[in-house]
Amino acid sequence: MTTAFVDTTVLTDAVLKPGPRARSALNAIQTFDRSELPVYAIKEFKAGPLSYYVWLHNKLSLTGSFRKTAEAIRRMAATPRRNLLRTALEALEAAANRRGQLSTGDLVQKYGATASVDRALADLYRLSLKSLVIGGWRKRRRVTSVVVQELSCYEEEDPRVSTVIELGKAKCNAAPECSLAAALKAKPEDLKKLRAAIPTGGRIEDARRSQALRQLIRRPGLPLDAKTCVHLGDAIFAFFAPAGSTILTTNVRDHGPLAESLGKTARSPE
Amino acid sequence: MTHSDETAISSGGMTSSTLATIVPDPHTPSMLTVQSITTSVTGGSGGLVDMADLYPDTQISAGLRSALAQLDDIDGLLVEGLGGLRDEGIIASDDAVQRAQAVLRELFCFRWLGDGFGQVIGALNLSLSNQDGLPLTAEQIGVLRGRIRKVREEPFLSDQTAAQEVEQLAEGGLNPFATELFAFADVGDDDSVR
Repeated sequence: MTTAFVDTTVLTDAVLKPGPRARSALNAIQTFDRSELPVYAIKEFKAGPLSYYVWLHNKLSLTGSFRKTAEAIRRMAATPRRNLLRTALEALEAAANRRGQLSTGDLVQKYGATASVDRALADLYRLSLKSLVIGGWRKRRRVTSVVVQELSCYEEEDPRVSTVIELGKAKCNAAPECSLAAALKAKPEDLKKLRAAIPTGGRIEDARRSQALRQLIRRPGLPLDAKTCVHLGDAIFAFFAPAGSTILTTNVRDHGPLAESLGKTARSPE
Repeated sequence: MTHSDETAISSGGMTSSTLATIVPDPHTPSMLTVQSITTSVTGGSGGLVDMADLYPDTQISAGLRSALAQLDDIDGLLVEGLGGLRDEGIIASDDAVQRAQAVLRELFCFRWLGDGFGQVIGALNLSLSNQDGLPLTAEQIGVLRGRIRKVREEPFLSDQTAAQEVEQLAEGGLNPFATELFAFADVGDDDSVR
């Protein structure tokens, strides 16, 4: 029997990017006899991709203007390591030129400022994001045959939707420690293999993961707190994926070495 | 906490039933806000009374009446589009859909009726503009009509209901989302991007 262990990137494609990306993710999942989604992926999904949609939704809602929202994002994108935000904004502005046909001069004359291209675009994008967030959250547990590894320290609070969307708690209540800690600490040899597989290229993400694994290996008596659990990231998937399973991810570059260190594989949906 | 109030009024052989779902305002917990209102009216003969007839002119804004009239116009044009596919050919059908699209743009100006209304009308606009000029199939027109009828019956639909209606468009072979937004799902710090 083949098993897919679905990571956050594939969950995101499946529920937040309807169309070809979602189809590709869902088709890949369906090629396996069984598919598992760990709740850790839902936690990452909410703290990451879903929160970015919510952030943009709320920015559009509070400015009521596409132009002002783009200006605000441009200022943020000017800070170091914000290339992806800059790229996303450029794509959005290019598409907005086409979407601008949504309103015309005669509609502005008839309906006033509501019909202005700037206001109409802001609302078009805001409302589309609202549909994506509500729909994505609703579908999160439906993409695989089972959801596994419920986390007693993490509550899946539903987003509250009104003028702005409030995601609620995104972090764990890891007291006295993360609910995954005991399972992780029970296999120090696996933790060592994972740590050895982390690239030494100097990326902050890798350094944090290595540090988190080091703490688990060398000082197992220390409680595993919420922040350290977050830093483990991809290592969690490699560690908890069932033996012989395939980690389904769009980020094989990062997952691949970790999975292989424990005799597992990582594969992209494409 | 969610609280529902149902009020039934009988008059002239008609019974009107209004169900209001009230929830705490997330910003001001001491305040309550109406999450959704659904109204149904049964006439003396047992048939449903039209939404537009529910509100006398003194109670309803001219906006709602205009929006409902435009929804009727769009539905009529979509029926024409279906007829075109059956009898006159794809150009006649596409022309009717294009005219519906023009009315849909205007209908988006009534999004102040509520975000549920705005979500569905915005998604209908996106569905058509994302076709990039490709004519609709009979099935796709049918899916559009279903959403138009839903908003016509329930213009004050909730955000949750609206999101389900938008999902129906996607399941019906249309693309009701602004796909340029998808890149924003990946904008975490570049260093930790996966």
